[in-house]
Amino acid sequence: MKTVSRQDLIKITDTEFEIPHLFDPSMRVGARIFTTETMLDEVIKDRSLQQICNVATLPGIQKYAYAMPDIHQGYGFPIGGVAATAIHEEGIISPGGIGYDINCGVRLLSLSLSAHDLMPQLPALADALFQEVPSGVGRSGSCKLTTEELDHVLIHGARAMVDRGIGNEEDLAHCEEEGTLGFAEPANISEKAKLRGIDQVGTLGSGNHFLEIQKVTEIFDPEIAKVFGLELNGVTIMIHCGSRGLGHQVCTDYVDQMVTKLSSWNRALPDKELACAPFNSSEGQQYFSAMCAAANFAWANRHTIGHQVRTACHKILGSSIAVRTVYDVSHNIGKKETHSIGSEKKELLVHRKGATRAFPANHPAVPLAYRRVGHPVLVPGTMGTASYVMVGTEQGLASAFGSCCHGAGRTMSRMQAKKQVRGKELRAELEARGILIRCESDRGLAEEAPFAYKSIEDVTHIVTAAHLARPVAKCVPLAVIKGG
Amino acid sequence: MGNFMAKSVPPFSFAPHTADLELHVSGTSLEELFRNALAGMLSIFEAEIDPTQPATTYPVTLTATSLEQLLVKFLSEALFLNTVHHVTFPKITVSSITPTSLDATLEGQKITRRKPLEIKAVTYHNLEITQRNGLWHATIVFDI
Repeated sequence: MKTVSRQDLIKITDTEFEIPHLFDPSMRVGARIFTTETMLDEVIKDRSLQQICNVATLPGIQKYAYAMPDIHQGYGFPIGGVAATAIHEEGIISPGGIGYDINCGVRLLSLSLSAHDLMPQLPALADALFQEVPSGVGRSGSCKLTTEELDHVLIHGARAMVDRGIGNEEDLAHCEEEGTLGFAEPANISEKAKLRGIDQVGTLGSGNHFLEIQKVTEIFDPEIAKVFGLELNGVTIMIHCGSRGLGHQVCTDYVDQMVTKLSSWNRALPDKELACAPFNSSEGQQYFSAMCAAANFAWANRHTIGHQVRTACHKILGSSIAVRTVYDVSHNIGKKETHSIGSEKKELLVHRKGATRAFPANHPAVPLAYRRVGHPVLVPGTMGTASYVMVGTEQGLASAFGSCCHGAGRTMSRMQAKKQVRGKELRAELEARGILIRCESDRGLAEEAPFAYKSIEDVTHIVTAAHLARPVAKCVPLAVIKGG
Repeated sequence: MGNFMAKSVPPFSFAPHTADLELHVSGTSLEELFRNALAGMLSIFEAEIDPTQPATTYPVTLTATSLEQLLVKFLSEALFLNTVHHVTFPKITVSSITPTSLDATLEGQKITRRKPLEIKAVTYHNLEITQRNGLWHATIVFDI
């Protein structure tokens, strides 16, 4: 496929651009990118637009291959990519289009005290969270599972943890899919994947995964914020992580299996990382059931971390403080969903790779607690800026299958970021701004420097202007806890 | 790009990639290419070991439909062993290698200290293995 240049993009609106399917004969549909003229100049520098055009070649793809405003170069799919395939029209499922960190996502908790009242205890709470939630590489979780118990987690997700006395029913009610996808089959998960995951429930990992204590500094929609349980100057705690080694191995296993089959299926792909199988083939079904199991593992993981956070809060702030789950939403997943395509309703497999589901009010997949307003859409920013709680719109559901950005989106490689700032300096700079840092690695901190990302304000502005979602509340970091 | 060893053609180096890590590796033979790719991947951890401790050997026997798949499978296997057993591999003995098969033994040493950076997976993205002027070259993107 030829290189995408600025002239290949057609402006649809101020925040939506198209690369028509005629750009390359292999494209089955066009690509739509939610961005602005200014941000496009940045986006065009890496290979992300090539990657979204590659996605547009996948069999069964419907409407457009979409890119959210936080788009950046990934492997196979760009990060911020959304592709829906029609499962009854030989549409495919692609493990690389979901990602190695299956059901990487965000959970938000809210505390029943004000940021003002928390401040004297903030350092102690940050220390307790750093201690209570294992992070970094090679650390086991406190939850020891037998192989039978692990299978139970793979089938029942977060529900399996409630059965063990960890967390509560309200945590489940405030989670996408109530923390359990039904099609999970542990027998389709390799022993290797199980070995990688068996001691990792309740662990954060490293890289861009984090825990953050935040203050709600702005409310944009008071009525919806109230339904979400968010108040001005309130305290929230955000958890970002996924399915750990188990999910990484599941994706590795199935990409390998599908790459092996590619030649026998006589399927040429612009990038082998897009290796895929028809959703309704035995390979497609096997991977989907394994992905659902890995997604359940991720929900059990974030649910357990939520419980550990609650324990730490009670230890430091007293047991009268309520710590409730606002919501938990995935941003690396493939979901079976029904959407309108023209005048038809079609059953689709929606790949969201670095993209968050954003279903509006009255959608049947929105948990009952939020059905009246739409579920919270959690958009983490960088450790020096802000995160947003948003809510989906009818227009977003009609245009991009009810999808939204998943964060700010990197603009700079980790290598470049490290060259531009030393971890120690960054730590001092953030602490001078009143943000506590608990991170064992200065280098890991530098790799995640705020300047290595797009502006979260710009990204959420595009999301709002393009009617993908609208802001409900803004939360700024008070303390960041990371493994490395 | 940073070099690992002072040689006219470095065995491996890294190039910037927005979200992930891109390794460029070369070798005079397939065996050397695979050996250097393993060394490149393991260098990401900056692992320290206690050499007085005994090594554990891990036999690795793989078949693949292509050379590219063989390299991904080899590195993925080493990554799996690294993750589960917390080992790095200062020594590898290759008994046989063809473009579609590999028989090798990895000698694993327990890691005593390492950089807290996790490699999630070895990807096929932009994976290219070429032979130019008697040297094998490969580009591998790791999801981190």
